[in-house]
Amino acid sequence: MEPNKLETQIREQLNAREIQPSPTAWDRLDAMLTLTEDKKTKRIAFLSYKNIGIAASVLLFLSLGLFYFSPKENAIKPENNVVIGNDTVNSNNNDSQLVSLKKEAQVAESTDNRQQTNQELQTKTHNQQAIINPIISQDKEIEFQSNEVIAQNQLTRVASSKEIKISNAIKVNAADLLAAVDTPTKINTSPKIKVNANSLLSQVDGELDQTFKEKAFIRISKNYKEIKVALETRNQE
Amino acid sequence: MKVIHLHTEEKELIEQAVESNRHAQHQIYSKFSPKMLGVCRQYIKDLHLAEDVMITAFMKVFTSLKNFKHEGSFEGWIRRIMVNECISFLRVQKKVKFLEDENYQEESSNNIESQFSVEDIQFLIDSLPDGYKMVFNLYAIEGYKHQEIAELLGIKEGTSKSQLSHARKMLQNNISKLKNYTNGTE
Repeated sequence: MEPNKLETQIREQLNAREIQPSPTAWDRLDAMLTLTEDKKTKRIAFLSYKNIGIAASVLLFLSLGLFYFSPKENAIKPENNVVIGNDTVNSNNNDSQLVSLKKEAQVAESTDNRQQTNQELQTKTHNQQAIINPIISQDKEIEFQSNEVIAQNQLTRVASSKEIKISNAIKVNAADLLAAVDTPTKINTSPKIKVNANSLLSQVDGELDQTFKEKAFIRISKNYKEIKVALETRNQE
Repeated sequence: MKVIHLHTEEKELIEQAVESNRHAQHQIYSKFSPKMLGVCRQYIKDLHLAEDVMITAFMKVFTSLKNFKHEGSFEGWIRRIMVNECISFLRVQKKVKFLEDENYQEESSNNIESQFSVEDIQFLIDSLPDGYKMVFNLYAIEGYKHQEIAELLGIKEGTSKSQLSHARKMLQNNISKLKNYTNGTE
C-alpha cells in the first residue's frame, strides 16, 4: 500500500498551500498568551525574590521607624528638659525647703515662747512630722520628674507653683495661727494634703507614660507588698 | 551561507520567544500561521473552527517552546503540534469513533494522473468521513506509519490500515465523480 501518484500529488499541493488567517486571530492568541503569563506571574509572585525584597524592605522601614520615633519621645527629648525641669524643681524645692525651714523656725519660736502645756508639745511633734514628710515626698518628686516628659514637667511646674502659693498661704496662716496657738491641727492637715496632691500627680503622670511592662511590674510588686503586709499582720495576730 | 544565517536567525527568534518576547512570538506566528492554517484545514472543514484549533495549537507551541531541542526542523515540530491538536479536536469535539473492522483488501494502486486544483483536493478530502480523513491525512500527507497512526488515534494497526483502504476507495470514487462532473460541464 505505497502512496500512489495521486497521493503524492495531493501531498505536494496541500503542503504548498497557505491560508491567511483572519487578522483577529493574532489578537486572540495575544490575549490568551497574556492571560497565561499573568497566571504564571501571579503564582510565582508570592515567592519571587522581588516580592520577598519588597516585604523585607517594608519590614525594615517599619522597624527603623519604630526604633527611631518611639524612643526619641521618651528618652531624648526629656533629657534636654530634665535639666531645666530639675533646676525648676530644685529651686521649687529650695523654696519649699526654705518655707518649711521658716515654718520650723516659726514653730520653734512659738514653742519656745510657750513651752508649758502637753498640747503644745504634741503640736511640736506633729509639726516635725509634717516637716519631714514634705521633704521626703519632694525627694521622691525629683526622682519621678527626672524620667518625665515636657508636659509632665509643665504640670509639676504648675503644681509646684501652686505648692508655693499654698505654702505661702499656709505660712501666713501658720504665723497667725501659731501666734494665736488656737488651732495647731490645721498645720498638720494642710501639709498632708499638699504631699498627697504632689505625689498623686506625679504618680498619675508617671503611670501614664509607663509601658505595659513597667505597669505589670509595678502591679506585681504592689500585690507582693500587700500580700507581705497581710501575712505579717496575720503572723503578728 | 544564507541558510546558516536564516537558521541562526530562527534560533535567536525561538530563544526570544521562550522568554515571552511578544514581538518574537508574533514573528514566528506570522511566518508559520498561513501554512499551519492550511494543515488544520485539511482535517477540519469549517475554516473558523480550523482557525480556532490553530490558535490553541500555537498556544501549545509557545508554552512548550522551551522543550524544542533544535534537532529537527522547527516547522516540522510546529506542524506535529498542529496535527495532534486537530486530531484531539476531532476526537473530543466531534467524538469520532472508528469501526473496529480489519477486513480490507489490498487494492491495486490506481495511478490516476490528473491535475487537480488545491480546492478540488480539499473538496475531495472534505467529503471523507472524519475517521477516514484522519487516517488518510496522517498516512498520505504527513507520512506517518500505520503503527504511529494506531498509537496516535488509540486504535489497532489493522483498523488504521482498513480505514486507509476505505478512504482511498471513497476518494477514487469521488475523483471519478468529480471528473465526470467537470467533463460534463466542459
